[in-house]
Amino acid sequence: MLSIKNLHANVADNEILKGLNLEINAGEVHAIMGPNGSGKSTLSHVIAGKSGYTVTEGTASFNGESILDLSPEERANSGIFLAFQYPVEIPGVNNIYMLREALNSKKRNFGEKELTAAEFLKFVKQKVEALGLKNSLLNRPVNDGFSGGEKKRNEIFQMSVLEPSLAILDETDSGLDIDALKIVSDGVNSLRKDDRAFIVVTHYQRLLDYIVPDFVNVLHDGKIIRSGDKNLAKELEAKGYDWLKNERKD
Amino acid sequence: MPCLIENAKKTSVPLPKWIQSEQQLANEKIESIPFPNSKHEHWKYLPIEKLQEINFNSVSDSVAPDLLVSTYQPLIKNKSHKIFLSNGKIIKIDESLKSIVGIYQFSDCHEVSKQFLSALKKPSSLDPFFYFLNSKMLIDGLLLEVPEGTSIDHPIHIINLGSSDTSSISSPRLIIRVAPNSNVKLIEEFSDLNSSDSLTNTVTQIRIEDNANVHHDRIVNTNPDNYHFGQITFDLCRNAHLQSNSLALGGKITRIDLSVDLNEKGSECDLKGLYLCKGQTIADHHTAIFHNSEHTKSSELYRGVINDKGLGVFNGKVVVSESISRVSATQHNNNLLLSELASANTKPELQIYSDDVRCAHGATVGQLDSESLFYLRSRGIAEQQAQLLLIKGFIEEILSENYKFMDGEFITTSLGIERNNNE
Repeated sequence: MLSIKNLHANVADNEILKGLNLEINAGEVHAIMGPNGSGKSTLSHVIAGKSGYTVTEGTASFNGESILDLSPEERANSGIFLAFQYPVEIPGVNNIYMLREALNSKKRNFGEKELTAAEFLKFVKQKVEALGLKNSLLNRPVNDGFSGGEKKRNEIFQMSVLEPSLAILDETDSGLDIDALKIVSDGVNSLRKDDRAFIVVTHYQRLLDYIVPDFVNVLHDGKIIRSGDKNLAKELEAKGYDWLKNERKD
Repeated sequence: MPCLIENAKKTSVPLPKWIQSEQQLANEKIESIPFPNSKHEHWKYLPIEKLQEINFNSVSDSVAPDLLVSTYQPLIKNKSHKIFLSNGKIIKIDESLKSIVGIYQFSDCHEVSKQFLSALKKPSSLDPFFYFLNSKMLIDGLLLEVPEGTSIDHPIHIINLGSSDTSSISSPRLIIRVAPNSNVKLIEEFSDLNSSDSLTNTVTQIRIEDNANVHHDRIVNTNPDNYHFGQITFDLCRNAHLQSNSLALGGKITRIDLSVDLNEKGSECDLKGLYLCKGQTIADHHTAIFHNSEHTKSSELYRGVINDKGLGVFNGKVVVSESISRVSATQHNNNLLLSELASANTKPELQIYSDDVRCAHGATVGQLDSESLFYLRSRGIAEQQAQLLLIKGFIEEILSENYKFMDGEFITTSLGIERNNNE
């Protein structure tokens, strides 16, 4: 589904990703772990198409098509979703209004019929109920005045409405207390499907107790330096990142 | 005498004495007041000298009233009681309105009550030149009297239809008295035809008496080839409340001078404004709020969205003199620039000489937030549509309840933003 080969990316003149390889198949949940400054957020942003990054080498393709020349909206409409580490507050723009625009953009992209306001409302209400959220979420301006937990729940809610085939969770656990972490994780788990893949970017093993990954990839200095199953995360938690860094030096 | 009025001749119909004496005064004053120029602080940022190069003519009465009314394209879809005017002359009134409020032309009123005269007395904050020019040039005007205890279901909608003549000058004048305990919504709209180099120089004076509540919307839809100079004064009595919304679509120059006198205890005003500029249009709002009594309150929020080489200007004056206490005043102005050549000038002018004042103000000039834009695009919303959503969000706070016409199409047209083909 997502195939990244020898990816190099710069921010200004600093090389952040230095030959990253990653293969993700439908249905898989991949954790990306790594210390501060290892390139985790850069990877998320480069996949989603944020400006400010220059890819200098390598390829990234999604369902066989290169995505590096696509706009963020084209990537989103082909099925990629980024749950932000810091969701942006947009006063004056209603959540439900934004989501209807977003969903209908996607439907246009796939040549499907757009939903009317009434159809859309029915559709999102089901999603709200399925995730156990409050209806009031719908008519509030996007993330405006939301608590940290509410913002992250709103990201998961948007994901459930847009039904992506690849979802990237960029440090979704940052700033969440245990209860909120559990709610968000339950939401993500309820969205796991055979034809949907997840990239879970995190510092800590804790999130992976709730969202159990199929693969754990350790990112260090712009490269994946080790991949393994969920036990790798536990080992990392016990030994720290230095364990792998030192091993590489030897 | 500035050439701008040399060619413009007045009609021969004499107006009643009470307004004639105003006109005589204006005749004398206008001889001695120099034509404004951008070196004056009050006219800074405006290329007002341009006006002096135009030989303005009087508006001709060549277009039949019915035809003129039929050219009107409503911006607002809300139901309203309409009065159509052309250069101060009534051309059509909705029958429904006649039983609710008093509607008179200046030319029909040989005498007016002292309340009207009080509204007419020139407030000190207006620019003398354009005020006297209006008095001097006016052909006729409208007096509106909202009787005591009136409450109206739909807004009173006063539509000033511009002239179709090139280089014409029109001078609408409106005086409104809202008697005590009334509750009314007024819409004052200026709608331009496809003329060019024409000037609408308008004066509106509104007196809001004890315990009355007025919602005043002003819509200035100037086409990019015309000039609009609008002067509005509000006089508030005890416990009077004013909600004012000003919408200006920039013409070659659209200049609005809006002033509020909070004269007695309990009077309050909330001023909101929006200006949208494209091409080389200029929209300039100068507002002034005078807290003339203790226990008065004002709040003000103006926002502008400026595209292309447009220019938005906001100057907000708030005056509280030394002896006045228990006053609250807030003022905010935010500007959104959509292009590199767009510009905005914003200036709060707080003249607060009293210690017992709660006052907050802020002004910003910025561009669309790139993080917000990326957030929306990452949800699959095309760049232009995402920009439009953010622009709508920016102006939502100003005009949410009032304007049903503030749909996407209106905004894209007013700002000259191209839409995606698949929209």
